[in-house]
Amino acid sequence: MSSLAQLGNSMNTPQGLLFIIIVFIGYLFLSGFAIKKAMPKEYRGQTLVIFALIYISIVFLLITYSFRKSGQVTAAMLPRLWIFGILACCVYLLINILRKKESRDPESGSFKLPLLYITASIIYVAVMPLLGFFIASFIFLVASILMLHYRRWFIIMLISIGWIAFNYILFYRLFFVSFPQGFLLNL
Amino acid sequence: MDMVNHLIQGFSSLFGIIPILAITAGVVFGIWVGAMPGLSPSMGVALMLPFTFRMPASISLIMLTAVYLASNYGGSITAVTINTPGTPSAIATAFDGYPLARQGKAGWGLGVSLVASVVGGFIGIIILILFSKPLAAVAVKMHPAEYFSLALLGLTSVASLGGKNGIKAFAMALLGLLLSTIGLDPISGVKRFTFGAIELFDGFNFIPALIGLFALSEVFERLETKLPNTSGTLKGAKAEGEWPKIRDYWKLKRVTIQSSVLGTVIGIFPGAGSAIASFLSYDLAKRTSKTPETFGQGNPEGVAASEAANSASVGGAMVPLLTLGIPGSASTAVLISALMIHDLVPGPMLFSQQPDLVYGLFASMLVANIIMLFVGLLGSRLWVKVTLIPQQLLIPLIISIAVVGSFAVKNSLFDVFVCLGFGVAGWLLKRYGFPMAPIVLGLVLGNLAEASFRRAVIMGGFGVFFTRPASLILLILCVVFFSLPFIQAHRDKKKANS
Repeated sequence: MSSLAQLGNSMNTPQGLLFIIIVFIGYLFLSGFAIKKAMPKEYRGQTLVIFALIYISIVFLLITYSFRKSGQVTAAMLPRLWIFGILACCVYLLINILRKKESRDPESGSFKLPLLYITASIIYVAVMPLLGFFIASFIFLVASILMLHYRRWFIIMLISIGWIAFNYILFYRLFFVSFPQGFLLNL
Repeated sequence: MDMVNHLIQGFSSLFGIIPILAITAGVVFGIWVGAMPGLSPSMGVALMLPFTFRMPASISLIMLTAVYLASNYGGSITAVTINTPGTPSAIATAFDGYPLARQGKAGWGLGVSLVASVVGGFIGIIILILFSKPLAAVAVKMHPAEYFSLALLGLTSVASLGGKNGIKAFAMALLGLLLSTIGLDPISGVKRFTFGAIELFDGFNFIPALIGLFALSEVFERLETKLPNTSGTLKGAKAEGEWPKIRDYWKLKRVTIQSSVLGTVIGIFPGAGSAIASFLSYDLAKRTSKTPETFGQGNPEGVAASEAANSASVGGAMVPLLTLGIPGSASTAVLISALMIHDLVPGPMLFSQQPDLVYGLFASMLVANIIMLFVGLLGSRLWVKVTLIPQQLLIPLIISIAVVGSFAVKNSLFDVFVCLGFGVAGWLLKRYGFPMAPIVLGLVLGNLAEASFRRAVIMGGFGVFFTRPASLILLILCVVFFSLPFIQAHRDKKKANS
């Protein structure tokens, strides 16, 4: 197996994925730092996105070298075609940005609330196997409504309990969707 | 003349409380299933199937077909009200339906989608009745080269979906195509970009990706801006916006009819799907519109084009099913099992041996469209109230719907994480001018394009795409459709400079 194929093979594993993600985070930090120094403020965001696309494309390209070759049209052919297309678009966009021909980044709002919600959503899904779908969903709904400064408790309870009941009747009983039960219901 | 007699007999078989009840139940259930993200039309038909075992064959079929028909319309409800297409075929509906709702014209979005669906459904069924046999003969001759060219034609709509950001849209379509290659290669079995995860052997499930890219990215975008600090109340809320009048629907007749015909034709080809039909019709509507720049900002023509096509594709999908016994979609595959349960063999013999059943089915589809119109009109007054729910309640509910919808597809938490991942990525990409629609287009068409391309090359070499006339014509159309927006933009720029 060639060295590129070996590299691709090692990246196409769970450990490889972890390595890719760690390098990606570091790469984004370094790119962000470089972009801040070199680019005008109104193009920094999209430039970072383009750099991220370039990274993803290169990683995927390396992985394609590990695909077994068979037949006239191999498993790697079309992924590589798409990857080279993405890279070409990224280069074109970067040139346009340097020439200031691209539209500017939009006015940024606050990232605080979206990041808070993303974190809450991840925690909600992560604890679902532990608490069970119904308890986790109830807590998530109440907490997420409160995070948006809504304080009518009757409506909050009505919506939360109503939603749980709706899912129980429709998805759990009628459609037989196996929601995680959690340890409480399994005791 | 025979056909007319059979059709009259078909209608007369519907005179009775049981057939009408069966159609109504199918329509109501279908709309419900279609509206819920995570539940697909095929799932709705499959869920209804056990209830129909003990029914007579005719009643069973008309009920299941009503579910299939109505669920294609149902997807537009959540597409318009909360930017969460309930079915893949409603993605293009969201492009203009949701902006209409944001402008306070949810009534327009819902009304146009309903009427266009009904008209599209009618036209699809009429084409099915009149031309089923000759169309089936064409469908069965489709070579993989033509399927690839058709998929490529679908991808050319990225040029118009991207608006001013043509290259960004193209990059996103390519990203969608790349993401569609994740999983086991269908031809050689190679594990592509699976990173050792069994859950990725089938690639990303489409529904969680769709919900994340559309619904969650929109939610995160809204959270960035300051939400109205209102306690809000549902009590005393008025219906948002006005409803279209008959003359408004009449103004959309050209786009509705053209999309219905195109949708039916694409629905005929097994595997092509209602999503491709709706995308292509949307693109064609935009190209032929007098105001193409308004597409994506709340143009009712966009809603009409998408909905008419996806409903008309149902009639098209029934062509290979009934005439050849070939299911054109997952839903028709379930319908085949329903036919077999009742000892019916779909194919040319069904028409000659059981004309009453076949034409009764055609008649029931026409009646189902009428019932869908009434149910939709009554229901729309209710659906529109969703847009009046305060953001503080709606946003958590949308996230909850996204979680449930993603989980329900395969009972997998992995899909929920995929949904969240696509939501975050979609939010960031959209923020910096990278449109979402082309990613979805790439995801939808990627597998079809690649599998057809490789099969075609295996069967006939690389030249087959140019030696087969149908494929060559489609490829020429691709080049023309793709380059037109760029040529137009270049001309506009020259004009502006001079």
